[in-house]
Amino acid sequence: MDTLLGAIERVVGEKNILRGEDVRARSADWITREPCLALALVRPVSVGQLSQVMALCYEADQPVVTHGGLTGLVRGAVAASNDLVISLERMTEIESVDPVGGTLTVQAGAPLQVVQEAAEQIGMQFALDLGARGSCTIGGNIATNAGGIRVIRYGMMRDQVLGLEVVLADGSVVSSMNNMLKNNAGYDLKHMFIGSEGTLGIVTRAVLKLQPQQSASQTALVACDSFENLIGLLQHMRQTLGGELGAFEVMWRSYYALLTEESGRHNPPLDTSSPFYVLIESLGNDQAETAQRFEQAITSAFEKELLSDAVIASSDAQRDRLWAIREDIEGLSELIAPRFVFDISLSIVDMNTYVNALEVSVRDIWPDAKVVVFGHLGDGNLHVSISTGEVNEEMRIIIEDLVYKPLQAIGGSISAEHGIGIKKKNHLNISRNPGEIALMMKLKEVMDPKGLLNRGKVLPDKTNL
Amino acid sequence: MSILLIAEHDNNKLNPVTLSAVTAARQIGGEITMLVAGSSCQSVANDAVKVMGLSKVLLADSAVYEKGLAESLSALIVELAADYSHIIAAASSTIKDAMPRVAALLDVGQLTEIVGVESEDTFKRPIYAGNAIATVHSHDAVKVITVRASAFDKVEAEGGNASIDVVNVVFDMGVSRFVSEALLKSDRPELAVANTVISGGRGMGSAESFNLLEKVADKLGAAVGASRAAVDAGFVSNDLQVGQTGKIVAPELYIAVGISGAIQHLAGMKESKVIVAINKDEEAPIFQVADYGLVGDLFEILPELEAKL
Amino acid sequence: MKIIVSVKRVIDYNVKVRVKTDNSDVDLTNVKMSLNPFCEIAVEEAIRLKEAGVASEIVVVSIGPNAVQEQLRTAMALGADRAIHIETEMQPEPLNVAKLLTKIVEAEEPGLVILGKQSIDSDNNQVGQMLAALTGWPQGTFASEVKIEDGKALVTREVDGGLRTLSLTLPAVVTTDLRLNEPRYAKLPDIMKAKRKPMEVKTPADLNVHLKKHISQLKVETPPQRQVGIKVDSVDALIDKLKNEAKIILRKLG
Ligand SMILES: Cc1cc2nc3c(=O)[nH]c(=O)nc-3n(C[C@H](O)[C@H](O)[C@H](O)COP(=O)(O)OP(=O)(O)OC[C@H]3O[C@@H](n4cnc5c(N)ncnc54)[C@H](O)[C@@H]3O)c2cc1C
Repeated sequence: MDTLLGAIERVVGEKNILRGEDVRARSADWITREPCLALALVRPVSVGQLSQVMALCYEADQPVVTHGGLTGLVRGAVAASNDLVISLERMTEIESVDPVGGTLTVQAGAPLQVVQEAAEQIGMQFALDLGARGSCTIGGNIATNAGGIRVIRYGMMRDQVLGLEVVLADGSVVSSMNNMLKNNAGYDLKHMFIGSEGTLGIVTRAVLKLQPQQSASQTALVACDSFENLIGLLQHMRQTLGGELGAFEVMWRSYYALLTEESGRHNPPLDTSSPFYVLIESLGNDQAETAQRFEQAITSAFEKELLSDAVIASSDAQRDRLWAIREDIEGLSELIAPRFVFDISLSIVDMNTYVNALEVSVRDIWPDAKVVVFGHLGDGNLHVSISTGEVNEEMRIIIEDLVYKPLQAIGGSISAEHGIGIKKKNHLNISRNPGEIALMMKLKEVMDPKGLLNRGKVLPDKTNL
Repeated sequence: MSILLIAEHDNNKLNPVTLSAVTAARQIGGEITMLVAGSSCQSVANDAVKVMGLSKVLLADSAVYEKGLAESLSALIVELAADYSHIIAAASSTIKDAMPRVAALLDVGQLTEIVGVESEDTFKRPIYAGNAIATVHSHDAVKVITVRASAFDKVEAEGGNASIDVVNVVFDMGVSRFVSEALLKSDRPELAVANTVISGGRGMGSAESFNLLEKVADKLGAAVGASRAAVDAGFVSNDLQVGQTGKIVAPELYIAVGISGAIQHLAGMKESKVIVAINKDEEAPIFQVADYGLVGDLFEILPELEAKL
Repeated sequence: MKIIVSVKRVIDYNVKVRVKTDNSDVDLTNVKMSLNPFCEIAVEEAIRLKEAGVASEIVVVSIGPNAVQEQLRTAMALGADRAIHIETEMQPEPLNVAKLLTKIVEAEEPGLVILGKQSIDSDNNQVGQMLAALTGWPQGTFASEVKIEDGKALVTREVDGGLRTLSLTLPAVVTTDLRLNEPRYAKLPDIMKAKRKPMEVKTPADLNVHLKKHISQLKVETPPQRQVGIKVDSVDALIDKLKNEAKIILRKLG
């Protein structure tokens, strides 16, 4: 072992290999914050270094876990004591920005927000956005095919990536740094790596697609008094705002009331008596026109009684305060710790029945349990947190059953955007059929025959097949 | 040219920001007269005469001026204004309160918080919260100016020998009355308003080692802050958190100890005037925003710093 | 008691301003404009005084081109009763604003005028004080608390190093600081109602005020960028740099 670490140290230099306390001080589980157990952490500064490091690991059969910003929510970056961590934290450079082609080339360790700001500098925008923007990295976003709050308008991370560079398990480098919008020359290999959660290769660079900046934004928080109206409102906003609808984020009363009135963390802009609250945003080009169209859309929804009350942010400061309620996942974690977290997809029409039934089935067993729901409604994606006051294995199994079984029946997905990691690997069969899983395994076998990359993640344990 | 400069003081000592205003006045040029208006403030006038570069000190000593109420102070300044081409003072809260009144009563514009003197009638001043610097030109016969003290060096407080003239006019407007004040007396200023902040991060390792920080903070009269990682680790309570989801601070001096420099933390402190980073990891991103970086073990550096301050 | 609140339309607080390449000004094309945050606080304070039964009517005033009517509508959606728009081609200088407001105040005879302590574009921090000087009314600037008691205004002000409370005879002028309150949001039904609230339009000529030029802006530049930092190798070197290069006073003040 020491000879391997010694050889790696000669590649990356002494200061780029961390051991002991410096490794423990990191936590790869954003929710539990447990210390990282890996035997060491390596932070290469170039793809050349990383390639050499992986070649050494390959030779020594050394399993590795890749670390981006460590905001993943499915334990995908958790390392065992015999794992070596590869951290991309020193590969953060924005290499080039092309305002004409609308592309940005970046190293995978760059935080999302840094990329967003670099795009703004040239009057463009990078359209992926999510609450963890300050910490999560482009590599992590690619590895998890992150979604977020702009999917309704711009799609997921997959839709923002034009090209990739990847280091494979044996240290070889595959460069597919395409910067063209259209390129149908053979298999589009990048898609194999996007969403593969570090199990097929380590992403080192990417060419990202930029969008024109939409500098005129309008934001409202509205209350809905029934699920039917909520759906009606979504359709109404899509029709009246068309392409300008930039976010449609729903908070069930359980979430909104908890984060405002019940905890005092935020002043409630609307009273907490309605069953649903929606944060609606439009993104346009012209300040006056966007504002007028938005107000018109909200007003007509009010007249049609699709919403019962609304506040419109009159400044970006107010806009930020509205978003702060929706994005206060830190607050949620504090208020109902410990909790079980789910990230599910299902058709919008099924959501209300599903959530109501889930609440009933959970409370049947734990009458005081909290079921807190919010999500990207327009994308058919809900985040469900369940807290019974404690967390143990037995309980996990029961609760996962309560959440996933009914989902299977209605053809939903156990992971809308967070990925599978360790948390959900043994439920993969709920959302993927045996043929799909078999092909995934074959792919893994070919790409990583020694099973060194993020061992034990994404694919189900053999015993569970 | 002749300049009337209003002294900032607490009726006891001359506040050093006044010395920066004198520098600005000297850059404009001409004779400088300093007005000390207060109550039982002879000692301030005694300080003032020693300040380099003054030709005269005017002392207006009356109970009416004790709290520097804007209505009375501005009336006094307007009364004296006829002899001067410029009326200038450091932008303290008393001056920000009174000076625009002086300008209005003289029917002239005010130049707020200048940071540079281009000529006797042209100045630089920050606009848009310092995101742009405007060069502005005054057309008025009398220039009423407030000065951002941190933008000008201080003149020597010793070595001058101006004379003192006593001014006996008293203006009591009778519309505004001082009721009470609550000055922050604690040694540890509040985080959001402190001039110096020293923050600890994950590298502090434990709640106990924040004691090392506190000792340095006491020496500096600084507030103690923390990064999210230190709060999460349970070292300190979350009201100390500096950053996007915590407090946003912009002190004169920010010292980051054992903080790696996540973007959310930077959002809470990057407007600080001078940033010092102390971290054993020389690759930590915090060094990219620091004016002065010291690579090393904080458990050795902090006690040494405390001893040497 | 009637309250007048004067508000300004400014670049939104969140917008990062860019200086035009010809250095004539900052570039305001198609940037988001909002109520000045301090003015928003002023409107909120007036509404709270009305809700508390202290005030009976709130009149909002804004000066500038037609677009400022948007901010006046916002203020009315928040709770102001009527608006006065003083139409000018550009935003006038503080002293001219104060003179225009003085005329409005003379005509309306309010018991209290509340303004933001400064606007976040020009950062002048002058209008409230100038208005007080021109009307001869007492002033309570940078307020963090306002109480009306026994015909007086008790204003707690944020001053260097603490808080100071003054008692002012009425009528008086108050300017707001950030901690005075947290402004509410405009609710949809109120936004709709605000469209029907009265808005009076006047010109400086109607008010008999001549807009005089006192200060011209010659040039606008981007501030000097932060210098790249340096590493020092000892505590002594650090203290030396802080004292002699950064000119930081490394001791407790008072
Ligand atoms: C407050 C909060 C809000 C969130 N909101 C959303 C949301 O709205 N939508 C959403 O989709 N997700 C959301 N997430 C979870 C989301 O998956 C992550 O924020 C992000 O995409 C992961 O990036 P990271 O750099 O932190 O990755 P990490 O957590 O470091 O890693 C995640 C996985 O990717 C792998 N990985 C990381 N970097 C690389 C690389 N360079 N090459 C190969 N594999 C790599 C890791 O091994 C791990 O399996 C949220 C998380 C938080 C904490």
